[in-house]
Amino acid sequence: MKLTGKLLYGFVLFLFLVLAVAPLVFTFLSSFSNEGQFTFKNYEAVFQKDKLLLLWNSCVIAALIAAISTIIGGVIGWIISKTDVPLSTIFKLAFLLPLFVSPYYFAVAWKDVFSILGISGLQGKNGIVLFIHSLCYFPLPMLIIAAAFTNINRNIIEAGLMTASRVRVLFSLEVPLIKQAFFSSFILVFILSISEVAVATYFLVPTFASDIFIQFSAFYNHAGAIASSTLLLLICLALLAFEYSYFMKAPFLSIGTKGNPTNKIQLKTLRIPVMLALLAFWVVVILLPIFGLAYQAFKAPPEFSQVRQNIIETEGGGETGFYVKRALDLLLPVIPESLLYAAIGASVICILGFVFAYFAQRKSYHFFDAVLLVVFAIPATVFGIALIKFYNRPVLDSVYSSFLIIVIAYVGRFTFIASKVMSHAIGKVPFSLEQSAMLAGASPLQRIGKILFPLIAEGFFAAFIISFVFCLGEVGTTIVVYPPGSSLLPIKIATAMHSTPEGLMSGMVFVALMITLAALTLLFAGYSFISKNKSWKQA
Amino acid sequence: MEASIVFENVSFGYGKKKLFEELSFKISGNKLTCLLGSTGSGKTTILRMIAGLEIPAKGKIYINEKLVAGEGAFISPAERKVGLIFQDLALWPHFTVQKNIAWGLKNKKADDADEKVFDMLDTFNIRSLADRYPHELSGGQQQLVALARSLVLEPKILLLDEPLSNLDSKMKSVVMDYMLELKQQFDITLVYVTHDHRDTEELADEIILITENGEVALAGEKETVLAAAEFKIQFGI
Repeated sequence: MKLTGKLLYGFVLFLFLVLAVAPLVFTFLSSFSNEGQFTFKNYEAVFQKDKLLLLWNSCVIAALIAAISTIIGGVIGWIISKTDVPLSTIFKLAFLLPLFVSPYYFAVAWKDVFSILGISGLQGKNGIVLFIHSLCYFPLPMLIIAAAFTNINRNIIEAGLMTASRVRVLFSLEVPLIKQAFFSSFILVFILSISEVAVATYFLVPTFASDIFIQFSAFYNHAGAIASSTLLLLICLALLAFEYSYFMKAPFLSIGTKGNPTNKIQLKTLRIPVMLALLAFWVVVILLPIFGLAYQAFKAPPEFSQVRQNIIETEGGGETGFYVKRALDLLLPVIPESLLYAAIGASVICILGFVFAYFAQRKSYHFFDAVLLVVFAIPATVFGIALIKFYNRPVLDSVYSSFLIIVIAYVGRFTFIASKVMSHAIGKVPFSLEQSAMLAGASPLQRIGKILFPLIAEGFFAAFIISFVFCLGEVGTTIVVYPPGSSLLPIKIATAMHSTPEGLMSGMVFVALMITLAALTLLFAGYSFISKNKSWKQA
Repeated sequence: MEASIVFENVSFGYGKKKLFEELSFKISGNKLTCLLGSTGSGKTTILRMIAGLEIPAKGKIYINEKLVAGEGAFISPAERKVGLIFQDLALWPHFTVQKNIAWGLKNKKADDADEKVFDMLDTFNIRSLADRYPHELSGGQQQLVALARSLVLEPKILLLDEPLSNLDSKMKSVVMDYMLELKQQFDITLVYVTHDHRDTEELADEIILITENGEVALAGEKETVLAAAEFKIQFGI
């Protein structure tokens, strides 16, 4: 493996550096240039009072979102990981749904819900962004905190139980032991929400990230947008630095781990009420917006409207469901392309991620983990701007004008997650298994293909599912870089947001949501098949 | 001497796997009893049931003539006055040595907590380690801290789960000496789980031999059990 392995690693490293890191470095350096001269001029506007105030407001909103999400996610994460509430696994999966769907879809869905309830005047209100982002991002703290609780050494808890009550053990022993998980949850949600553009733009709420997008795409103020991006990027990196070691290990991305088994807390008479409370919460925060979306999507156009008249005249009826049909007409041409690009993106991500993960686990090559993390944490819009600045030149036109730029966007955004998922999977397989295959004369490919891969198949497939769904829903970067003449599902919807009747917008989002759910269901079915179809696991 | 711990027809299993069925034995008070058996025989599970960390599916468990588990009764671990030294010691990694030892006393709002903690540190000659964290200690030192943490609460019963298995021979000897001192110094029943019959020769007053099927093969005074043919066959002596 020695020379070939190092060459392979070097090649993959070089590829990622060139594709994803070089644009960022180039963009950062170019922010100090004006007409070929080194200058800080581009940053002057960033430090104006109105911009700083906008940044401050955005940080405050993001911090509140992070706090609310962490609290909600923490409580639910504790319940499903530490108590004997029925259907805990189903709840865990059910609550994960918002993570796999663009927050923008939930923005449209909640607007529909409020519309049905007769609540209007949401435009320009910070509260609506706070509300939607909190409900979209709480699954992330839930995942992180549940994993942290599960991974506490059972004996440590039981040693505490020998002398103290459950409550005391929870707050004196368990919570302090997993405080990194709480901080990391807060930081991650903060970074995600401060970088998110689509929801704020939809509700016309001014945020720092949406201002960057507008500066770049509407005013062509590239220099100003890049300077603002740099400031936002530095804030995100500074926050990441606090919990750097925890993010590098990312124990919450360990798929299929049961951690150290720990006796679940017996809820006794509270078992059913807690389950019902979780169910009610799920119905309200996830099912209700989907229902609102469906209601608006299938609702007939307003009576006496021109649209309705046209339908009756041309089709003789079928007003109900008109918007969904129309949405399907608009989106069907882009669905195959979206699925294909997501699949290609996920495949490239998993291959690169596997190489990084393998060398991190087996050769302790951890130095590149930090780069992957930084690129992952960079605000989506900022990354998109960097890709444009780097690839928009004649010599790279074959990349810039093709679907390759989209795949590069996907690779940059999500390789970190895939590499961590696979790193955990590889870490669970003793190296001695590969070494004994080596002694038996197996080539590197045979060792990886016949020995390692069957043992990490679940982790690999989980990484693929996660990457695929994230790619399918990605809009922050791709909306900036997508080539003219092409479109993807989320981009088509996001670009239509202000010029499309409400019903049609609901119809489009509903169709996109159903496509995502269908893809998720198929992929999870495949994952379940792979997980169960292993008789050697019973040994 | 009245039995300190009584198992009466106790059955237990994990899922479909039955660990033991209608297990019965008695452990005498104020003695060091070794639970001896091979890996997987259920010794640790017996210890955990005494501590209250596992609940028997059937049968009854008495501690000092009080029903602690079975027939609908259950007394929580914190109320049983039982100490447990885990195999991996389970020292709280974010507490110093002093806080590890003091925490249980603080929970019980003991007035003389600090005094008791310092006494215990002196008993085990680990006062100089008071401000260190568990990861800064050697294996033997961690062992002593774990002992101090349990004993400071003055349990009536101390359960030890293979306490010597992770120690080198020198530290084993040191900890064994402490065990023998514990017997004399503290008015306490000791239950010591091990798979190594050599530990029993030095430490035990009584031995209970558990088979792979979770049954009691032999039980009684050390000399009687050690001399039994079955014991010799099982351990190849």
